[in-house]
Amino acid sequence: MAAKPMMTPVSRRPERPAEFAVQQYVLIAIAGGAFAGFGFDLAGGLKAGQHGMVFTMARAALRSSIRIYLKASGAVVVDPPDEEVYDLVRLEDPDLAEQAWRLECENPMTDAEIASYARRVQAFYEDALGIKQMSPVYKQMNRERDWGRMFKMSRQVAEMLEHLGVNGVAPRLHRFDNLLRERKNIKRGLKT
Amino acid sequence: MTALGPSFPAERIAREIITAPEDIVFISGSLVEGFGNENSDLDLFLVRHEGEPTPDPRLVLATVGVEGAYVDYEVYNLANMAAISAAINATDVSNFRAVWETSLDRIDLYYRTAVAEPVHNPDGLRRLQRDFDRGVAARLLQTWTGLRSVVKLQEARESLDDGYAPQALVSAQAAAAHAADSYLASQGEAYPNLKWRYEKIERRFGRDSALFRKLWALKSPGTRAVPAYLDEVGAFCDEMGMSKYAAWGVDSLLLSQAREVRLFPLGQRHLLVQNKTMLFELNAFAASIWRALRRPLTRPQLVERVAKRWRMSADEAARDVDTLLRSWKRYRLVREN
Repeated sequence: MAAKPMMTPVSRRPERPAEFAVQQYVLIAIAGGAFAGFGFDLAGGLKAGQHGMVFTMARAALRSSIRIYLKASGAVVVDPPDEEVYDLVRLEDPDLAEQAWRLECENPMTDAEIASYARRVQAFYEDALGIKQMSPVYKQMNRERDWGRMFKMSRQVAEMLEHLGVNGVAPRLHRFDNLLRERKNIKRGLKT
Repeated sequence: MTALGPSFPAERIAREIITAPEDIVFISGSLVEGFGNENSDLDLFLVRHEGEPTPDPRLVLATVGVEGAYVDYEVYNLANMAAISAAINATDVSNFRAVWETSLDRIDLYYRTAVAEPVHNPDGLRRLQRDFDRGVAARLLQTWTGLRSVVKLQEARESLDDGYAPQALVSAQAAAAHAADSYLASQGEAYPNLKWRYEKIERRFGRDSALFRKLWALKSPGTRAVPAYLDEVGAFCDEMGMSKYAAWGVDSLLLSQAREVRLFPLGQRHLLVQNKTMLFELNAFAASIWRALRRPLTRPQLVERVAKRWRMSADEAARDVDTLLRSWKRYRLVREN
């Protein structure tokens, strides 16, 4: 229609305070909780011989981890769909993109290949993408106090996001408050 | 309590969370479905007899009590549950838009309630379950995944035509997986947690079945080139009966501007601001199409409007609208309902 492109991304980087808050939320709430959960699911599935679920979760973890990396690096604010993550990570780091793409295309067939695949996907997101080092709460969330710390920090960052007017990244503050209140009541009840 | 060991304190947790004897507590999810493993969490649901539902029902307690099990705890009230069952039971599975707009989370909760095991107030759960039918969930999931399979396969072909091989491959993988999900639901394997897809096939047909072997081989391209992979996925989707959904017409979906996206004119320029952080510049043509989406339109309606406004042929308008819509969908600037 026109010589000029119909749409041009002008800036894909948020302003600095918003960028910082988004990164913090992503690293605390998403990388901290979800990725430790992925590792836990993969370990449980491998032990139980559920290799189909292990593959499905490993593939989901691969794509989600790239989304985390893109958000944490400020390349995107809104989650890109699965279809876009490989092109977007290529803009940030072509070597990482190549590693990720090889894992995406790989088709492990035997149980042993699935186990190896899951371990390599986990190593990719923990070490190559650096999610393990980036997140202040990344660990196996298997203790009550780990979850408590993560929720509390998530709520703190959500407050900053709300102040900055960045919506759609974290739940609204009142939802965190409700969650923390309910959780506290239940814990208190179970102790008595 | 069949899903967990007898020492797991589900009853004790139930006693702590109920606020009235009529409240219902039940368990559901992967453990009840028979797919759990030692790392699986326990999905515990509280349905309050009255009162306000918790605005965010997804709470995580984590390692409550003995056995170190994880507990995901969700809170509803009877009015919530009645609304969910009424909405799902009334969904016409032959209506593309009605099925498309139903959230998978809602189908999942409906299914989980239908197959739940009681922890507290079993009579109350039985009464509640009268409005939750596993067969209804299965039929809805069959159509829900079938439609997504068709849409993903179409997207895969369009991406390949446009020279976007990675996008084509990822869409094709989703098309194959959803085709299997749809077929499985038609055969009664309707647990909406789709990560158990292969385990469902194994349980129903066996690991040596043709279905398992075909889908397992299609889960990634391996050494296949993307066009060849797409052909195989297309054939698999046909075999799974997805062609019946193709005829339903993806074009009936309504397109509209996404929330958190606003267009600002700046002199002769048109700037699209997303989530107060991302910025895109549109030319005048694209900006006029964006404005047209202030009210939801189907793709054919949009094409017709663009052709009329810009005095273009229908083919030219369709080509430009499709190019623009693909990039808007890519950046999540438009919604499809």
